[in-house]
Amino acid sequence: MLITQELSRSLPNNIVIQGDEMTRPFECDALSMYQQKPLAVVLPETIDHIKRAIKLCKTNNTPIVTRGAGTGLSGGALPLENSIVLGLSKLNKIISIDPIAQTAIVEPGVRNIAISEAVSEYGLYYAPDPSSQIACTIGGNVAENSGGVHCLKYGLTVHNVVAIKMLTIDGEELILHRNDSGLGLLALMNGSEGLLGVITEITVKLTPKPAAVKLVMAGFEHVRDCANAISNIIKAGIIPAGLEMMDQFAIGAAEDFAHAGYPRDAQALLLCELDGDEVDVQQELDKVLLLLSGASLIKVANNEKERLSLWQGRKSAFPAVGRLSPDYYCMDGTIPRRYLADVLEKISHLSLRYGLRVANVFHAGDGNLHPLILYDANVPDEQQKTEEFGTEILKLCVDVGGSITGEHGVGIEKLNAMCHQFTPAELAIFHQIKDVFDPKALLNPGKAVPTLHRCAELGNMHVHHGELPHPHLERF
Amino acid sequence: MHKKLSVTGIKTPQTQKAESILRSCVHCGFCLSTCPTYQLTGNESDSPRGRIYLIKSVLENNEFSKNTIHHLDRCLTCRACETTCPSGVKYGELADIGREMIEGKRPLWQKALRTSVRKLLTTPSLVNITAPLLKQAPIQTPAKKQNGTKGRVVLLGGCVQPTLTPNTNHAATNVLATLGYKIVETTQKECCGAVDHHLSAQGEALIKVKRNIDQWLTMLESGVDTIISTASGCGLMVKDYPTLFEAGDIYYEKAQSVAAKTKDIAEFLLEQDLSLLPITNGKISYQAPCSLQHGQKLPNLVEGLLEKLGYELKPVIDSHLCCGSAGTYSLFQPEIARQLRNNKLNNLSRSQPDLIVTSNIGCQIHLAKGTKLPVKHWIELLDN
Amino acid sequence: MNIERIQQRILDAEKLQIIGNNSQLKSTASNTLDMSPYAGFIGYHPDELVMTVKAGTRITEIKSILEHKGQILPFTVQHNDSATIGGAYSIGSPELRDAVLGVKVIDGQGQILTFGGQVMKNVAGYDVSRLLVGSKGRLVAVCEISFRVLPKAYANTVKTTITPNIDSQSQVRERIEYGLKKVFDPKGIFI
Repeated sequence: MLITQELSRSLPNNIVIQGDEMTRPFECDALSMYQQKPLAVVLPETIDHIKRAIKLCKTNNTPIVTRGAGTGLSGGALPLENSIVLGLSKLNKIISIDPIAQTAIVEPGVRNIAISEAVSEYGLYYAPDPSSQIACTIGGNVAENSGGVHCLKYGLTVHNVVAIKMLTIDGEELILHRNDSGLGLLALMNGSEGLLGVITEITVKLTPKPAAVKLVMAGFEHVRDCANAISNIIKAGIIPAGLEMMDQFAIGAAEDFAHAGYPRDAQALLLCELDGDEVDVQQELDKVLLLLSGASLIKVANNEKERLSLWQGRKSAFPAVGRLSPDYYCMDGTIPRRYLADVLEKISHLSLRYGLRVANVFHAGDGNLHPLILYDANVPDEQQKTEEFGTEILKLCVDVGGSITGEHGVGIEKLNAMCHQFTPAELAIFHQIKDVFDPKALLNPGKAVPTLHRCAELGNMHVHHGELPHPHLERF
Repeated sequence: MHKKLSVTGIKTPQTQKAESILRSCVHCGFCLSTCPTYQLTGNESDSPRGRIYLIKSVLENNEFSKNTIHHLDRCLTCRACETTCPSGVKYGELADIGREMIEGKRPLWQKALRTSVRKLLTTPSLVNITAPLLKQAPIQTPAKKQNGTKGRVVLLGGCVQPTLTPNTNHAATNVLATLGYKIVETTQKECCGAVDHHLSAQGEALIKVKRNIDQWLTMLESGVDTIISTASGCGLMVKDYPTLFEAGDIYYEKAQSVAAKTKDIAEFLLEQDLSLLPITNGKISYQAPCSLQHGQKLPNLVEGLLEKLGYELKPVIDSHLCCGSAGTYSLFQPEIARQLRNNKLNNLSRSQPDLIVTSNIGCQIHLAKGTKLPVKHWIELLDN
Repeated sequence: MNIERIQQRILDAEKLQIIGNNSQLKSTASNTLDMSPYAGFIGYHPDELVMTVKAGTRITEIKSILEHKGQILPFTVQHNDSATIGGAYSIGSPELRDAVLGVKVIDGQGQILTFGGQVMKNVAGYDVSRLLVGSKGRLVAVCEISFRVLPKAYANTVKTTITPNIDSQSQVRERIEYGLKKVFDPKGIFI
């Protein structure tokens, strides 16, 4: 019997979706340049449904691609031809809230912002806030170790998850806690991109809402001045809750949607949010205003509405760029911040060379760059050119000591760039780690870690001291 | 969004428009979060992004079946997604085009049912016969004298409102009279065309729309200042008239003139001297119709006005989500409509109000069926 | 002491116990690899809030360098500060794990491997640098560690380190930990 038939027989109605027509909307996530229809989509309503689906898939050697809201930007939830998609959107209950311990236990399909909304009455919120937070699910956040605009001060997902329950490919339940003795398995699961297990329950850490929040917006005539201001703020011993930068192109697009009052003529825009006690925040604000004296425009949000409006522009910047171009490709490199101005300069040179426009949105506090390459998929070769351009940007990041992905994950998209960042021996370790959890390679296979074969064929092998390392490793 | 459109045959203006809307979507998925049906079912195909994908697939000439029709039918066209969408995708327009494209494959019995509902609602004599079966809100105050010192305005009659909730326009007339306006009410025959339009009967919708445009233009030319709507669904339709015509069409500019002069009654009142209006005491909870907040893009309009008048409004959880009425939706998708109404009534009742008020006949009738609380048009509060 | 020497010791050994300043583990093994001579600062950029040091560097030294720039460690180390950062890493604590950004290690086959980096955000590949916190020297020899530091003003946000206290052993977990030991040290030389 076919796996699709077995699933339909084993699970209630409306849980299993099959056929080209109805699986097509699941053929990609928010990285829509790659598409693949799965054999079927399973939308479980209970943990038991997940267990049954995993068991059948294991017996039939059918790969499983787990999906949250499909807002990922690296193709992590891209189906495989012979896989099912396990969509956890229906598991969207907040199981319990403990205002004393400041934790909440939630199902994986709960939206990120829904946690903050639910705990708001206790004066708490869930700190990591990826830009897609209104739609993305907490399960997806854990799988990608999502960041956001506030992680400079409050950390990434890995810092805000207390425990998870997961199912292994054998259907066994495993509970991982922050305070477990032994290896950091919980940290390993964060950012494992669905390759090691299926997360079924998450205990998140909640953060008390700060007594005071101030948001400063500053416009600069030169990108370098903005970059310097950022360094100076950190040097002064201040860790802003958020420290964000946008270039002129991104400013315009975000302003078109949000009407936040961004200065369209500025070359760079800085958003700096300070939070904490009233007194501390005021002191920090005074210091920051002094440090921003080189700015051409400075504005402090007068009220909560203004503050949220300034953030909304930033958080909608990616899709808002969709107004300027039929397609865009969003990169996610990180760099040590001191190289910021240099890297941006190099990106603009590359932009001229490739003849493709770039908008830059930047989590400046933690060195996380988001260049958006604008292109038109209907123009022949433009997509390929865009991907080449993107790879060059990521190499640039690695070469200054950064990383090819800060928060979006590798997925299907950055497999080639992984060859540049890691040696074959390191990649081999990654493969072996997966093998410990999933020896038949059924969980999201082919994502996140490139095969050594792929890297060798690319001719893009990571090179140490001018020698190809570990010549004994099989590469073809 | 990345798409390889392979529209065979001649590209019509419709498919070209669809293509350009599709290309503005970047597939980010933000819209999933505010889509009432996706919130209930968790299925991508019940989300705006999923439906855009289904429409795209039809445009690309892929096979489709009653399943695609099913998921497009489940869309409320509440357009909450448009409010959420940072890329500015005109989902409502795309959904209308998509629905027309799939209409050919709709099962006959469905077509028959939809036609009868459409005819029933847009034929005043039929509405009037069936009215006694439905709940009515009778006229509650005597008519005020209209001196018209400040001018004349048109008040849209609407097709079902005069029969089902006659007090709405009666109250509006009195309020406008108090403010010094003389009212020219349109007759019930002049349905705005929304019912036909949303049930994919474009031809019939256009006949009504053109007739309205011609009549109302004449009124505007005779010195009437404004066309006022007390049903935000109708108001939205009239404001959207220009999108129904190509730029070269002689009706395009006419439609623009009419749309430019059309206002929701709350928009109109905001420019008036509110101190002339006495208010009724009582705790109220306001339900914001999608056609006003997402369609006409006037969020917080009525809330702001009511607060200015002196009402204290408690925030309503999920106020951006549809109540399930959505024009004729509650008739064709009773199950989802009921779930959404229950959720909406729960949220509206949290502040323990004495009554619920709204801005649209559809929401009013639909909500009233699920609660013992009185449900009124807010304008009725001001007529006493 | 240089990294090649450590590598050679590992390649030559049949069984090897890694020790730091010997502050935590009372070694009984006949063949020990003392990492404390492999000490010193590799990189420190106060405005990046990131420090990279060799594993044998003592916590006291790290603290005094940080003090100089008005910064602090975002975790506390149990017992005493004469411990090395490598030792603290091997014993492990949730707060230290939070602060770790990257490591350079030598595995049981003598391969020099780098995971993570010197930036706050990095989700390329599995988070091996945090996985190995608490690995008690039984999976790899940790040579270099990059971690986050904090301005002094945030001292009140630093929690006193707790000992990982949940006895989480289960059959599944045991099997996974055993499997991971095999990944990094297939011949079982680290004891």
